Amino acid sequence: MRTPLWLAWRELARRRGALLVAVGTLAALVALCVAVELLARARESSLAAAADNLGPGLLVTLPGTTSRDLAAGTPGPASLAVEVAARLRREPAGAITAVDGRLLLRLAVAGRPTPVLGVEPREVRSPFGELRRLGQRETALGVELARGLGKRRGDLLTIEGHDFAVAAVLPSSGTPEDVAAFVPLRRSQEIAGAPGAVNVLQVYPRPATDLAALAADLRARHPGLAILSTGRGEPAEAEMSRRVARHRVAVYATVALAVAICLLVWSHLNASERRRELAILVAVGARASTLMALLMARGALVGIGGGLAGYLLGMAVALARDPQAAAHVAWAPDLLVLAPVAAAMLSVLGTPRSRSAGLSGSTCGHCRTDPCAGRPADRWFPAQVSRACCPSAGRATSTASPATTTATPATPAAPRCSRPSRTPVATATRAVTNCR
Amino acid sequence: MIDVRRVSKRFAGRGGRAVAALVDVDLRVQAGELVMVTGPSGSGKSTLLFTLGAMLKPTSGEVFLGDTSLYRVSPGRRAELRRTRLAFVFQTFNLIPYLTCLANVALAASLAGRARAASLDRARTLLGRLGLGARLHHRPAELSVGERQRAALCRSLVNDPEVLLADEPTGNLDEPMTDEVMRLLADLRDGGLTIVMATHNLRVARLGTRVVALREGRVADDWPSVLPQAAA
Repeated sequence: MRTPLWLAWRELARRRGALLVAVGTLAALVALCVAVELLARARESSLAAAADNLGPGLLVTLPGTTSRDLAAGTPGPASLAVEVAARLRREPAGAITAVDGRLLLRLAVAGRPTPVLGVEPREVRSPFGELRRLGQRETALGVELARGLGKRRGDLLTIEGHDFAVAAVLPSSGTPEDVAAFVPLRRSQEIAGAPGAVNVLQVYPRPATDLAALAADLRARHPGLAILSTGRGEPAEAEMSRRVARHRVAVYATVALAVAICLLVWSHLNASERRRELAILVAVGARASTLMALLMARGALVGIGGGLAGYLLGMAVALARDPQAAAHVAWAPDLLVLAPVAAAMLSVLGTPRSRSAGLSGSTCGHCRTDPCAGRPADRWFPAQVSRACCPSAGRATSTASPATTTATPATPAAPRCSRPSRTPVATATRAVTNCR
Repeated sequence: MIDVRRVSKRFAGRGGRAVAALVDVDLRVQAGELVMVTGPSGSGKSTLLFTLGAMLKPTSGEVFLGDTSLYRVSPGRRAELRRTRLAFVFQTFNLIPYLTCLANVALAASLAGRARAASLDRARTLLGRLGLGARLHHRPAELSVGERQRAALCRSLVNDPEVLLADEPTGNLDEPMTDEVMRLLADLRDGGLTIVMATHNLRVARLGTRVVALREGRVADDWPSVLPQAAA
């Protein structure tokens, strides 16, 4: 494998123009994919953050409890089993990111029956943002409740005969929590005389999860529990995410197809152009497998180069398009590996096997032009070049001259090659053309 | 050494008309001979050489290299024969343009399975012997025509072949260079190498030990050269 790889490397190093065109085309297409993927990841990431701020997607509570009961703060006296939360966190695989336990009570707040939520302040994520850590004698009030009671931050409040200081008045959320009071979970359990009890579990699903399907799955796994949807817009979001994902896949498939076609065309053109070189290798004893390895090594090198350049270009495009969102997803090791590997694989798969199979060494002997003629250095030897390119004007050049059909075989035939052009590029092109 | 038995080669021509390049050619070449195949253009010289070189399968007939029928073995085995026992020199040299003189020669040795260092050593030695010691790192385009031909000769000799097939190796050379190449070939023949060379130049043809004349794809004449020692 070393010889084909070495040969491919030397050839690419020599033909930098062709290499740049191939790598540039590949890089542009890979960059398109990488930029789309990075921007989509950035978008998903910000969607996830926004979805978390909308509150839990599902509520798990006691059997028979309804949304109305929860709004009224009357889920019932019983408690959920302590292991339920742990089990929910483990299943279904990866769909749930967090589960918060709450104790919902209906207690007398300033003498008025009011929903009181015992919460674990550090775990709580609510529409108004994360609650700050509440002390054991502190409470946070929903905005409507605070207005109704005429309480502000720093005031004292009596809940079920216990004194609390108002630590915060929460901004409006448009939910029943606006008329509730929040106290530390342990304190609420002490007031209720039920240590360790929780009666509502808030389930935060992973963004883009189909909530209806998740709820159905949980109902099937936990038939003794009430699974309520909060209707925070997850189904619409999930549907949108699925559509976006489908579009992404379509973009990738289209780009992959374009890459494959480009590489196939390029490889075929390259192999045709190099037909004589390949024939020379056959003449000096290279196997068909060696030629194949040479073409594949060439494709792999171009693919790796194009993939890496494409990743960097795509990263730059994503950062330029959306600097804030893309910044924290721009460094994606998975894409850094995937882009060159995929490009190299496509490139190798696009290698024209037929070009190396069955190639005869005699191909290089049928041409009467020197493959080295017409290159810039030949300007040093103009006379020799002229002879090399057209060594014997008036001599037929094909070995397949019609010996049996020509009456006078010695009759001069038109030479197949012509005098070298003035420009090296045109001369080289002609030399190649003459060899076909 | 080489035994050609009733070899014919026809190519498909335009309009479905077959073109016969070789017609029932019989030829035996003994070890150590310098056989000159001559004839006018289109007489089948190159086709015969490619056929002998395991590069062009004849339409009918057989070609033996020793006991091996070249076209009854697998393509892989034929490639191995081209690497180890046969060597070919082309009129247009056919050096790989993007490799240096040294790399062109070492490549043939590498393909034959030699280690890279050994290949380079062998190539360096041969190129030095043929007067290209100062041109090792020049690309073919930077060499004179005579130097290219010598480099091509080095490439063909790097794996110590038993048979050297040369298709008009002096066709692009002027007289002094032609004489130089012929001296080299004569030295190689003296060293035991069997050489079959195509040429349309009668002055060159007379330097062989035997001259085979082709005409219209058939062996028209086969006679010992009148000046077998002239090359020396």
